[in-house]
Amino acid sequence: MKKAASEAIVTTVDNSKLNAAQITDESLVVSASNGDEEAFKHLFERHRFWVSRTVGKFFHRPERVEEIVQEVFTKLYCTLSYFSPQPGKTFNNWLASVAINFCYDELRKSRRRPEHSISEVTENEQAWLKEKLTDNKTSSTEHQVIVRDLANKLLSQLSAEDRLVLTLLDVEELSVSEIAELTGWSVSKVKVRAHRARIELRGLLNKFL
Amino acid sequence: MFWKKYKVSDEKLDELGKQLFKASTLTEEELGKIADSPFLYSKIKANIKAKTQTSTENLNNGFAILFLARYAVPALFCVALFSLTAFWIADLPASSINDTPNTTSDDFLVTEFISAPVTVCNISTKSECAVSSNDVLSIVFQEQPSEKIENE
Repeated sequence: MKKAASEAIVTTVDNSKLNAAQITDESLVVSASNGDEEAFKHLFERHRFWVSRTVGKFFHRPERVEEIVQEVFTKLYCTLSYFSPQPGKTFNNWLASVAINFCYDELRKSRRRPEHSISEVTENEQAWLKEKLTDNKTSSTEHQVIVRDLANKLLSQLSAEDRLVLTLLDVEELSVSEIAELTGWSVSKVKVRAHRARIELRGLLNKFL
Repeated sequence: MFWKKYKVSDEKLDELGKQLFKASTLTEEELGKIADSPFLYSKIKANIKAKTQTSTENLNNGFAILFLARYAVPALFCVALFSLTAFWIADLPASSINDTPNTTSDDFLVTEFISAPVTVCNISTKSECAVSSNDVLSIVFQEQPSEKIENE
């Protein structure tokens, strides 16, 4: 009897999981915008890793990433009613554009109060840069922290637009048209910005080589 | 040859830039920790609650201003009306306020005429009709002796 009851509970849980998985993002958005907290929680569960991953491409301190992930989801909740599903524009696209635009705004803010100065680049970090130019081996894990620190120092010298475009092109490996769609910029603006960002980054690296 | 060397150098720099960008990102493990943080959702909920409260407070402040305006507008209208009335009264000519001057006083006419400007009289602006203040004074002083006799 007990066994049957526990089986029934398991099947109910499985069914609810199945139902939650079957519900589309769009219908969850509708429920969440009508005040259904559970629906919003489902959305959060579905997309939290993706949002963290996207934010982690732009910011490098875990605490900062967590803070921005929170802000992105808060913004998402507040703007849910503005989402209207259209052909070719899914919730994922919309969420991506919300997250990336939020990151862009935060990059602009952090550019106004930079945490690093370029003069803080140490000799070891300069040596790593030179070594990297001559040697194409992958970096060892012990250097990872140093390299990340160096990368942060150098990349903080770039403008928010340059960082955004280069991150989306080189790290996320998106196409120009995808970047244009996410940022709301024109394709030509993305191309021009990418070209300028590369020149800027080359100039920055040349200072240490 | 020089051009070729320069181009290769640019490519290497771009490659180094790409490596820097990739190196600057958090590892999957670190990102997983952030995403799986047990307090993440509760923090988001708290954030949402705080934001909703702030927006409600802002809305309430807006209503409070409207509520005050409901009383402030008529009050200001009354003040404006009062001020206009005061100005209107102040602008009235002295003759209309004090329509019945004390004609029995002998000094009345003299003081009135002395205070008047010694220019052309305001009866008409046409030169043929103009009567100067001096003319009026001479007429008045001519008439006064007879009045005094009558009073006596």
